[in-house]
Amino acid sequence: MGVGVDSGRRPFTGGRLGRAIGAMSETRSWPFLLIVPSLLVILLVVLYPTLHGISLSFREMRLTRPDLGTGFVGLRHYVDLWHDDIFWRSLANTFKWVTLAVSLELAMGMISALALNREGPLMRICTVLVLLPWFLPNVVAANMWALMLDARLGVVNELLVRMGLIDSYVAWFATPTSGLLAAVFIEAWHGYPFFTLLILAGLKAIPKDLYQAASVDGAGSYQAFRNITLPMLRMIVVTAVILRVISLANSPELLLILTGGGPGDSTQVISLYAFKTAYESFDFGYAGALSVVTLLLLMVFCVIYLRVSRVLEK
Amino acid sequence: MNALAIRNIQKSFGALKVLNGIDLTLEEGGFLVLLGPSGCGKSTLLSIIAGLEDASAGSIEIGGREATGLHPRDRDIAMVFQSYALYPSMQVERNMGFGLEMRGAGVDERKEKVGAAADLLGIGALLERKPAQLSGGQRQRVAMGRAIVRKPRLFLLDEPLSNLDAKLRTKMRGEIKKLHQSLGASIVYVTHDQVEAMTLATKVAVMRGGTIEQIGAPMTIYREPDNLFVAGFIGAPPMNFVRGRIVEGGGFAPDGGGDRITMPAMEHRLEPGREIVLGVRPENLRPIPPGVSPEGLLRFNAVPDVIEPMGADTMVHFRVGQSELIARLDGQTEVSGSAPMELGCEASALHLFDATTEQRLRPA
Ligand SMILES: Nc1ncnc2c1ncn2[C@@H]1O[C@H](COP(=O)(O)OP(=O)(O)OP(=O)(O)O)[C@@H](O)[C@H]1O
Ligand SMILES: [Mg+2]
Repeated sequence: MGVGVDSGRRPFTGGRLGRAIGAMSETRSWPFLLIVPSLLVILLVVLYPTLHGISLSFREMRLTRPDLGTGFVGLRHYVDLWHDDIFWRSLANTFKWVTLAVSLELAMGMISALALNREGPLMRICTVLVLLPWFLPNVVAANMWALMLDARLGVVNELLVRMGLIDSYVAWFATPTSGLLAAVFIEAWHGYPFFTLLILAGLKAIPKDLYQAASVDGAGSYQAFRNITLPMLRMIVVTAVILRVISLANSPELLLILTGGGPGDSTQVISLYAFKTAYESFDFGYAGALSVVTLLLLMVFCVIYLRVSRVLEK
Repeated sequence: MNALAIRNIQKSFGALKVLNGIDLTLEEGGFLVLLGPSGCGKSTLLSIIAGLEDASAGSIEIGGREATGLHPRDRDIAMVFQSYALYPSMQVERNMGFGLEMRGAGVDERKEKVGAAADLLGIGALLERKPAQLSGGQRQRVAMGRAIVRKPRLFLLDEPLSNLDAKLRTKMRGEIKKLHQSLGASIVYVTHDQVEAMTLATKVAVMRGGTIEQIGAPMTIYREPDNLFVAGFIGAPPMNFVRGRIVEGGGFAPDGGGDRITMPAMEHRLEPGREIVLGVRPENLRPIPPGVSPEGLLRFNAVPDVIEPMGADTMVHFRVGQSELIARLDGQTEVSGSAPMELGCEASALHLFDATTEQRLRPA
């Protein structure tokens, strides 16, 4: 390393300040000084809000009850959480919601990426088409589908009736099961291109001669997929699943628009519950506690998931 | 019976013609080297033999059995790739046994055969490792091992040594030769290194631009190259060429002036004025002591430009007309720069080519 080694020449000679900086740049602390600005930015935009959120969860902050003040309440929100039925139901719903949606997205992403992994101009056009849903903002996609699935004038109902698959229009979001499944379907439709894109990039990076070697060795396409493609995609799939689980567990918009958590609490997930607590009940302390629990659960998930996938590799 | 017989194989990629009618045969237990410069179609031909690529026309027989259109799995071949193409997620043992596994061999059979191949190649201690944990030479061995485990009819090797450093390459070259002798296998081997071709092959096919320029035993190709391209491609340092014309009285006048060269009497009957290319291998030149004028020698008057003593040999660079020539003399020879010397070459070691067709001139 050139750091701290006197190179024998002065890089900077103008003025007293210039000489001071020049001298400092020859010392060991110089590289650390150079990263201070970016560290400060990170502290400001990442660490401060996180810590603020955590501290919020230990305090009272209800906009509807200014008389309560914003004092420190210790673990009271967490104790309340423990006894809160809606919290536990939301937790179970979150688990169902995220598992179903991410599995479906992964499957659709894998299938579409395999289909698109070919040469030719047609494939490039198809790739762009497949990616289209991903370009739509959450809110637009949700409203669009809400309209298409509408119980009275939705085009989906009309089509299904004409094809004879259902007898009359169905209110998809009226029962807990069909509501959840419809929401999962819409989420998967919107989110699968994320997997397509990453998996396609991974597929393109697999050397062709591995498949040639496998074909000489007598492997069919399923065996080549199992023994070459899947292992080579492992890191990408693990990473994509983690990113997607985190983003799904944290974004309430889609369910907010489609179901608002209903019918009953059947599609109430934690992020939605936290959102409503903060912006409908204006109880920021309790919402903070919900968020902190989500954060902890996601961290636990990541650790366990990485462990399991590492064990599975062996 | 032939291990391989190829008839009129042609291949085009769109408008680009890569192979224009390749014919060749390889006898059982033979070692065929496909030799040629980059882009001449060697790998394409190998892929077609393996069935990884379809030929545009022509037919292939492997082990006396029609193989055109067969899936690679059904051709009873094994292939070693330039990049080795080891399966990154599998340990060496499974890598080597994968072909057997896909053909439904049991665990015990696989273990036994992989073990035997690993012992032969000295990689028994590496069986538990993943390819990423191996050195270049070890990967090369594993790739060889994966090929020999299945005892196929025909081995196809595409530049298997080109990723190794010079020293390892020489070592592995020796091992491949030993392996060929001990297994008695039939091998098709692609390379652009003429030393590998000379040392390994029982038969060399020199390719250029999608055609075979000459095919034969390595020493035949070395001694009697059919044309200028083959002559220049085989041998290191390459054959010296001097362009010029025959003059009255049997001498040779190099283009661009310079002394006439006395030609020995030969069976060739070359009329004066005919344009030819004279080919002399560096190792066929030797100094003629002053005052001696032996019969039957081609003689050059040389003033050494550069002298490179290499121990066993001394390379002497000199000019004749416009051409730069190299003589490979015995290391004991006293050569001093700038002192003129006479170099001679036996009539039998002389190569004559027609200047326009570039074909070898054979005695009429
Ligand atoms: N899939 C392909 N599509 C189009 N052209 C190709 C394709 N594969 C090979 N070629 C062309 O065919 C010619 C022969 O290629 P090939 O790989 O057989 O050469 P090679 O003799 O093996 O060369 P090298 O010694 O560099 O490996 C080259 O001009 C190459 O550009
Ligand atoms: Mg090649």
